[in-house]
Amino acid sequence: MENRVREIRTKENVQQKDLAKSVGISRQTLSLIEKGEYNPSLKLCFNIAKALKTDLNTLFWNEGVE
Amino acid sequence: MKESLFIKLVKYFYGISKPFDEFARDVINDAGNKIAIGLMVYLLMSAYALMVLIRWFSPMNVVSGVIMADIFVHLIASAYMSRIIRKNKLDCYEFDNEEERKIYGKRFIISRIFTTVLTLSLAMYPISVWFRYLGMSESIFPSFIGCFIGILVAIYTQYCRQFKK
Repeated sequence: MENRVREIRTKENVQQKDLAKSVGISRQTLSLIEKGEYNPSLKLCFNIAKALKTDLNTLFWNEGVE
Repeated sequence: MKESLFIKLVKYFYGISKPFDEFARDVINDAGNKIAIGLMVYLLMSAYALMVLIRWFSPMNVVSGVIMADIFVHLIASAYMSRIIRKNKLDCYEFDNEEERKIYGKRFIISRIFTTVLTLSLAMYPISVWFRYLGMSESIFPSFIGCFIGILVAIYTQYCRQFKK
């Protein structure tokens, strides 16, 4: 699933390890999510959005896909 | 995030060094289910085979065969789980600096040696009984030494793979 986690994380100047730690996952899992190779649960999506001070739509909604 | 005793046990048992997040849980659940189905089928088939074989062969020989088959199946299951864990890199330690690398390295060595000593000491008695039954009493000590050295080499190789620069 394509997402904007990496983009927003970089914009917020948050390191991968810090974000991973704050949402209770490993760096590897966060990396897989950013690359779109692992689809996180809604709960994890929500936690990531909260940690990045944004919302689910901004992070995970792909406008190009109907 | 606080981990329950069961999660700690699962992580220790499978050698997972990262937080047990939903990705790790999915991987372990998937592999665990496959192993459980395989074991259930094996147990059912071996029970049927035992009932049939015991009619033609001596019970002692049948029991010996079952023991060997059980150990073999256990090895296959362990190898499969290790492959899955390695493939998904769940056994890799995540460290950021030299200090963390040293701490994790020490923790790795201590936990592996502790597990090895515990396993070998628990296995020593049944294996020695088994060797005596096979009439190979003189091979007990060299076999244990061989196993111990082999396991130490494996631990060192794994340590080098994960912690050496």
